[in-house]
Amino acid sequence: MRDGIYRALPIVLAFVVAACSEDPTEQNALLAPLPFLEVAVRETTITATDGETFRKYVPMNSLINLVGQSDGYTAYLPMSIYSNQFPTRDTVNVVSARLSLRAASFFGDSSGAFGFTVHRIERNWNQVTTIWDSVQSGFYDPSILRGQYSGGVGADTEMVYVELDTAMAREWLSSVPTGQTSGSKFGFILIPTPGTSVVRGFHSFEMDSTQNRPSIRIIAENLTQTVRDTMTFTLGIDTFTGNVDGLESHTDLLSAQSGVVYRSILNFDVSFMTKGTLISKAELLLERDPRTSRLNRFSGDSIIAIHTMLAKGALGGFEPFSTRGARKAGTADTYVADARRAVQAWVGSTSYGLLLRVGGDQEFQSFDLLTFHSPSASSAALRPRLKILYSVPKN
Amino acid sequence: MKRKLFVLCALAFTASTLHAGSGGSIYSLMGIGDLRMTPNVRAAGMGYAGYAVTSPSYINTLSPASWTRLERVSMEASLLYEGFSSTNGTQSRYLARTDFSGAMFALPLSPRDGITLGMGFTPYSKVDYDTYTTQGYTGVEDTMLYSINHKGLGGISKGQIGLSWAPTRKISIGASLNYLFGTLEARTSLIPSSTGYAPGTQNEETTMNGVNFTVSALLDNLGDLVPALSPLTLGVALTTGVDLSTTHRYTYIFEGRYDTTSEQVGRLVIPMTLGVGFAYHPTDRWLFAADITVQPWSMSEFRGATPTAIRDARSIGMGVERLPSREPGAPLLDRTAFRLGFLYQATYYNPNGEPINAWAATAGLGIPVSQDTHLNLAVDYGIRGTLNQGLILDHIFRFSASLTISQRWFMRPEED
Repeated sequence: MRDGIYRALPIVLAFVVAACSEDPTEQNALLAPLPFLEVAVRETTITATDGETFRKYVPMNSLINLVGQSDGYTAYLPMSIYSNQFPTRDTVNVVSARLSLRAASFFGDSSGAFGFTVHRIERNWNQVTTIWDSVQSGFYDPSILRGQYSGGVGADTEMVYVELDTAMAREWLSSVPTGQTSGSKFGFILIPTPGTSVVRGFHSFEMDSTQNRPSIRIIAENLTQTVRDTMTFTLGIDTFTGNVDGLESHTDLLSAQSGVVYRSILNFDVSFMTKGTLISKAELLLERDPRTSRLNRFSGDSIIAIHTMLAKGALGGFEPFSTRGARKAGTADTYVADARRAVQAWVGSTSYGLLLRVGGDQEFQSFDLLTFHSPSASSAALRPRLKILYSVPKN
Repeated sequence: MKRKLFVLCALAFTASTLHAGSGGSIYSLMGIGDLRMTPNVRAAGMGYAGYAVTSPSYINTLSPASWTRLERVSMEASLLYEGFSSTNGTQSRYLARTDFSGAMFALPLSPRDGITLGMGFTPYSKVDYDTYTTQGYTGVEDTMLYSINHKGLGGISKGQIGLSWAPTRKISIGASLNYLFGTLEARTSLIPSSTGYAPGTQNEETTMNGVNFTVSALLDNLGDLVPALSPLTLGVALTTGVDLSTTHRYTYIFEGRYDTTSEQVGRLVIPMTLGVGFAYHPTDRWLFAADITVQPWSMSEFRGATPTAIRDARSIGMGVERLPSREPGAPLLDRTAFRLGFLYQATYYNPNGEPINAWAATAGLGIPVSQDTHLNLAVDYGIRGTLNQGLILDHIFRFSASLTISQRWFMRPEED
């Protein structure tokens, strides 16, 4: 027993005494003129060396789908009810098939004409891969009209009804041929008619509320016309593909165009900073060009997202993490974004620039266009710049 | 025996995994940190004097020649508690820590010839500081208040293996090969007072290793020269300088990302250490000892230059021990060793040309736990540094403990 006490004694004592120790804090820190590492804090503002705007078609698949055309913008809207939603009714006649869409927004001239035609989609597709290029050739049959709509811009939440071709609807109710998964049930696409001068946005199948989702109501009856049945379908896939040409040719502007999309890359030279430099603050300052920006009352806060490019060029890829750029308080058109993470990544390494794009969901559900003066802007005060506060080891 | 070994291993393991407490002295940011030159816990109670002190069971880590007197296989593990009550004249704080302080093993191969194999690990230096400086930047367009946290960690350890030999009854010699290894870290974190500015940390890490040698000798019973000196033992130990190979790198932790520079290879030269001591046994129950140690740190070199704020170091330690009675049946107090001592150190710290000196009063006990197991305890209280030039004055409290097990191995049982 006595041995046990002796053995435990040093450890117990050590812990007891160690427990009396304070923690080193900023408040009880001892200052002394010892050879501690010192840092020098500096600030600088640099101007972008170059920038470019590029177009990259991306799948939209958002809550709002666009269709129409206006000022060079065009949007197609493909959609399809899930084929497994349809019952197999090989021996019925389809009396009517009606598509219902709930409007959500519009872009362009609200007094302009709006219309579209409906065409059957000829091949398998999905909403997460379909882009503008996908629908250009062989995607749908333009020769046969499966429905059409003609009107204008009504109330913001207006319902739009389109009578669809009953023969196409009957195909959806037919049994699938052996060896096929969905037969010809690929859905249909809405193509703006030539006279259309406005783009309208409609709620998509992704909406939480069934009230706002697109729906297709099919009325069918048996061959003897004694039994009539009405079916409504609200589950499916949809997206839109949009396009506008030529934004990349405006070298004095950097464009962030949603709905297509266009994005811009902006380069800065921070090679004067050596590895070990701590970026305490880095603000990207951009001057928006209100004359060429295209926004409307559906555009929300018109924010931009700033990403760090991971490799050179438009196809270089970028970090998923982004910072938010918004109008600086007290200014009319100056946008400011936190670029600290990007600049820190460039220090002592290769810089591939910053990617500018329309921020949030807006990039995938509108035709918003934000334009900023580029490094080629005639006025130096309008060019993009970085305001950096950094620190370096002094000794 | 197994039970004792278990206790020893548990103590060593506990101590080695232990880093209880919150820090040490700011002075350890200079050079390679606080140097550990402790022969053993017994010596810690005697003013750290031990070059000429021998023992049948305690292992002296600084003088292999002293191992010739080990009669039995010995194992020793120890830990050290250090508390620093530091002040700069206006601000005070108390930081402390508990660390592993070494484990040694000695195997007498031929006790009659004093041939003993010794090996083990002990700390050589320790860096442990943590403090803040507060600064501010006011520029043309921006103002940033910030503090910098300076934190030092790590240290150098010594692994040693050596042999002793007593060619005559009066002369003992010994040598050991020492492998020094360790990592020193200096972590500097800039912490802005506003969250609008990003913090960042630079971690400077130097890993090093190298080999040096210790040779030592003991000259016992000088009565042939002067009869009055017959209870006197002289000891000398020379540890060669060491050219440590270093790899040096920085790791930057900015914006949650780790960025490490490529490693730079270099060298760190630690100078030789010379220690001379004597031990005087006027009776069987009393021992007086004194040591002097010098280490010319002006000859040190790091990255091609002598480190700043460094000077030659020397220390003087002296102590007395009331040795335990060997009478069987003696009371516990009589079988307990009592030690007192005093230490003066002119440390190798020399910030801004201001020499940092230290002194300490020490005391210790050697308590027999059983016939072949001893618990050694030592405490010392000392002062280091100065308030001159705004420097730091450390009041240092140390407590060290070791468990020593010594047993006869390879003995044939007597036949009836």
